[in-house]
Amino acid sequence: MPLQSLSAKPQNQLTNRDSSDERVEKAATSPYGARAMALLGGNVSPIQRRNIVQQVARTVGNRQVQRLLGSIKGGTTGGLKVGVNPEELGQAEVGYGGTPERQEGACGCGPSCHCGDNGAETEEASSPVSETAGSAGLGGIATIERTIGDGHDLASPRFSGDPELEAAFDDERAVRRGQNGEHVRKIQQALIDLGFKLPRFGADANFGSETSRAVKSFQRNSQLLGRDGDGVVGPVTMENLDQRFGTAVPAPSPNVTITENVTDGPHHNPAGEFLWQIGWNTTGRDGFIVQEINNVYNAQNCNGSANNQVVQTPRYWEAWRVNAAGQVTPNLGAVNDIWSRLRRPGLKGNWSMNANVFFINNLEPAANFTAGGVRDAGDLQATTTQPGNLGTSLLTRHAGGVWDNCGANNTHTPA
Amino acid sequence: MDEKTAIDAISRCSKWDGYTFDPLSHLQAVNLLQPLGKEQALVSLRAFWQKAEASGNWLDDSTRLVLLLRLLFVPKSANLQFPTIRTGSPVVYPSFPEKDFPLFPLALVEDVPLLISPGFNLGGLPQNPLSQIEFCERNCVIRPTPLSPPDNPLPLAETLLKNRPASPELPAMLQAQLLRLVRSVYPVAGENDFGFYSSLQNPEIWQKHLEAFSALKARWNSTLNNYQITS
Repeated sequence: MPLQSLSAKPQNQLTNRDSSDERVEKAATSPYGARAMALLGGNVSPIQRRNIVQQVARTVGNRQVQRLLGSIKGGTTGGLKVGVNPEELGQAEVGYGGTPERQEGACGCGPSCHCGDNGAETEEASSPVSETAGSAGLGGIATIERTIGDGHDLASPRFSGDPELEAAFDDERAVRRGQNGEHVRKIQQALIDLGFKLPRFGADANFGSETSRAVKSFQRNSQLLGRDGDGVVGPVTMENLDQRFGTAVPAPSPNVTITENVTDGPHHNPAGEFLWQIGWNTTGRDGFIVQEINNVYNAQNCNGSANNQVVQTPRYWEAWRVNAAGQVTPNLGAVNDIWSRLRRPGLKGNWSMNANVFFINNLEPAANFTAGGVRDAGDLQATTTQPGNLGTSLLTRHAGGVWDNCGANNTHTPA
Repeated sequence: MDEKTAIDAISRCSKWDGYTFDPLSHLQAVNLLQPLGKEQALVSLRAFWQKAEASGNWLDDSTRLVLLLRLLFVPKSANLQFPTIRTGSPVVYPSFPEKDFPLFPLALVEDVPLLISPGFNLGGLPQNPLSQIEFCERNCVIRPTPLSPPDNPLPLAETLLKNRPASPELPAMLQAQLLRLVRSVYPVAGENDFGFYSSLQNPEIWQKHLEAFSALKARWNSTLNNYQITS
């Protein structure tokens, strides 16, 4: 059992401004204080200890467990050896999805690990749990509890469960220049997949200046400003990235198919102009086709400076009604959906549109679909609030291009 | 005037593309339809859209129609404004905000329509322009007089840009539009190319156009609905 000493490591996650006496009082007077104190005092069997922790976690949530442990540690236990591991918390119940097998050896010389002065990676043999959790000591345990399975978790399959990215999402540790490791590689690959290029180093798992620039581009594209646009992946940027890649939790999916019937295009015309018109075919009835669109648009003046005249909605959802006969409205003749990019002569740049298409029975009121609600969607019912009832994507669509209309160049190629 | 003549005039109207926009096309269509009166003009506009719907060129035809509506009709009340065109996300220059331009994406400067937004991006479906026609039918009157542009319209770009710092491409885009307006008397090679505006980003070239056109002493001829050089 990798039990740890409370006093063995710093726990920078648990700063508490209360005095020692106040912390004792809080712990003792909390509904679970007595049990927690008993646990920490060691007057219980291992099985009892496990049951108590699980009960506390189930009942009051991981944050409360963390608070209890943090406040008690602050002044009353001194050098008392206590410890908790994820098994005691009940991994499945608190949503911790990691496995020791997967996490062993995952340490790079980044924030998840402890590096020696010479930069060599060192691991603390006595604390594989904190190692895999991406932090240290009880702080590490608390981080597991807080960052994964606390109800504020990353949803996309590519990010969900990564301790470092969950920590960034929870505003505990940002992912920034100088870091390296698998979590950095995931960020880099996500940026590349969204059209933010890393032309020199690619997804090399090292967060350098190229990655920082790509993060800033993503932040600009997501209309993140100020602190949220500084090239560092903090909670807001992490949330925006996560949202671009959908949910890991599959919702019930109707047994329907959706296909696109191309009526015109796709045409990659000069100077970044693009046109693609389609109509929907579906076996679904009495419901809605919902399309999630993820936009990327980067334009540059010919001198290389950014041209930010085009402002568009980075992510939105738009809906068409499907009646009992399978007719899809609104429509213009056989056309239900048009993707177009305007001409930008005298500029260069790249753009992409990635879409997931769903069929649902009802438009969720909370999502607030409104006709004309998102300008990019034209006259369709649309929203920037992610609906919670989309289920599984039945169709994915992509279009993109790189254009150069500077000097004698006149290219626009699909990408 | 037969319906075909009216539909052809509407068909010639420029679409929403700032780099190819020709003010003369809209000006001539307005001046052709305005004498018909509101009811007959609406009949012609609907006939155009009926034909356009069958063609499948939705995006271009819908924008040429809604731009024309903004020039041909005037809201009955000062409190009324044309509804936003739901055809995508437009490029809006910060110094040309939509709230300052009730005909957005157009600005009507001394009876010359200029397109102040180069275009829009769409990932959805454009509004059926019939709804904009219906707005005009319910809430507008047809403009009381034909459009009558000045004899020398080229300085209007500076008029519009005065006190509004613009991004580099906008002045040249507007200047190219004005050169298309006077092309019957002052043709410039390549003016129909969407990249034509690039050459105008050199201020000296634009100055030469201003001087050369002024020396022509051209005049707007309301009968011809075009510019004419008078001796």
